[in-house]
Amino acid sequence: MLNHDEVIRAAYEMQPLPASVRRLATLVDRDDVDLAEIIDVVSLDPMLTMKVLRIANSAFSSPRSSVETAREAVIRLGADMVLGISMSVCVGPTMSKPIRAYDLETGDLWRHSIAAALALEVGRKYSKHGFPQVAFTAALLHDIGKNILARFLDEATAETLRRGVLEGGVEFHEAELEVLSLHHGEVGALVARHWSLPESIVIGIQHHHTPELVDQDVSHATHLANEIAIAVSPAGLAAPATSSPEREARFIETLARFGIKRDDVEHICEGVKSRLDHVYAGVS
Amino acid sequence: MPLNTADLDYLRSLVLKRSGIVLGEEKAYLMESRLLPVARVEGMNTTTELVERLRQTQAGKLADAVVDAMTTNETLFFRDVHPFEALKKIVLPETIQARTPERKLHIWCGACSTGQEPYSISMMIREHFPQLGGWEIKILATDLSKEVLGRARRGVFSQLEVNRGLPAPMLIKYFKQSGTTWELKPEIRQMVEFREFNLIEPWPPMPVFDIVFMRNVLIYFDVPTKQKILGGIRQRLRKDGVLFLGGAETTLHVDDAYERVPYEKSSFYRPKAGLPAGAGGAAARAGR
Repeated sequence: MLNHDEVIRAAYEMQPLPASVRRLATLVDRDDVDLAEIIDVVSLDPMLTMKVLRIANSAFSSPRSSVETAREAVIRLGADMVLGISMSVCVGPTMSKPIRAYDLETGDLWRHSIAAALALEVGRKYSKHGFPQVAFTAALLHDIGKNILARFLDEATAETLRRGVLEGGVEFHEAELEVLSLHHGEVGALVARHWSLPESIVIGIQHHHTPELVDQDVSHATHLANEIAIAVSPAGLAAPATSSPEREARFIETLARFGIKRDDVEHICEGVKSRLDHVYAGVS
Repeated sequence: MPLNTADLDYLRSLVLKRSGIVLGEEKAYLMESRLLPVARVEGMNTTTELVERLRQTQAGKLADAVVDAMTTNETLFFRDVHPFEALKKIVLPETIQARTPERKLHIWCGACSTGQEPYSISMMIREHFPQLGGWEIKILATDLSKEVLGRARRGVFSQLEVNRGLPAPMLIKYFKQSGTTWELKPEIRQMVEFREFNLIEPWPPMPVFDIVFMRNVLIYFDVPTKQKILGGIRQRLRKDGVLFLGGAETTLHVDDAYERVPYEKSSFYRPKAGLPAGAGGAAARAGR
């Protein structure tokens, strides 16, 4: 039996985020995001400035001319992406590790996470209503709980989870719930709380498979991001053998919430595919 | 070692007989995974040995432990949000208005598991309906598992459990942190009475209810059992009472004596007007 207290402790033992990243998360979560404040935070962190400049000049932001200062880079990328980039500096190495219990090779999970964040960046063009600012970061971190949970899964448990998906026909997080009485989204939410990230990011991570349970824009946006990422860059056991009617209905509801047409999903997937390799290389 | 077909059939039949829960053939992985710890607690190494022991003892505590292990206790605070919005915005205000002369409100949460649903209702009443101070408020919460009821009565939840659906302001207001756990304050805990009750066994005498929560319960049963449960509730629901079911559940084509009332993104059910009243209707007319 999985000891939940041990899982909670492991989540709370994750190395804290740098103060600059927590500050950025708080700023981006505000309704009236002040770019000047974000520029200040980035400018004071040389490593972050370098990363932001690299991404701003990469294929990620399709540059027409190069940018040379933190200010220009922040303006070009936008607040949500700057937060995502700052987060990637902290979590990229951890999320790039192989996770055998989830059939994830080196880099698989990080690539999938970047695809999810990109899905929102690309999907913005097709959405009538846009996404919450923090959804980009929630999408990037949505599977961080797998890094923790995998430490507690022996081969027999991992095999039971696989059987749940393949024989039982349940979604992966449902198999986790059935077998472990918790799922990786919940563990990821523990990490996000431990990091003092805004509640909206916590909710996006926790409910990326179950957006209807809280029915907030951020949960649906993170769900959409994950579904697109699974289509573009399937990550181990998360990739379903078949899509259930419930899963399809949930996806349709999410698309409708953001005013995205079903036919545009293919365009979003293509957009993510075309940029994923460059971006993955840029933030890894 | 995986269970063979005969052993799996035996276990499915045992669980069905004792709890009404239907376990499909595709759930073999789940039975093996949940029953191995039960076997180990009893000093056995395999689920095959467990089935052998069950066949010898027939019933008793071991069978109870098997049913307990196979019961899904997934629950969260304010599950699905929208039914609770309906409760807050329309069902409770209307019920309170109708019950003002008698100042009594009776609510039943069936298959309450570790108590998150009845406690959500208690917190909502305390938070949004201060006018009910001085009323007789009874929230009866039932489940078939002694073990989960014990946990529910204690009202102590892990960080993971409070993260499931509980808004942060309510966590701060109604819980006391103790190490890595959160303990519900007595004022909320005392509003709920927990009682053991197996829905497929003969129903004990119960009060008549204004509101019944029977959410995400019917999905585990076959149609005849669903009909029995819905009929039983109707007998104990006041004529203007309200039944909440889970999002994937309906009374349609199962018990057509209910009518569905859609409300925003959710719905609830009322006994249809004009049909012969059950005991609930009669009791309600007699003022209980």
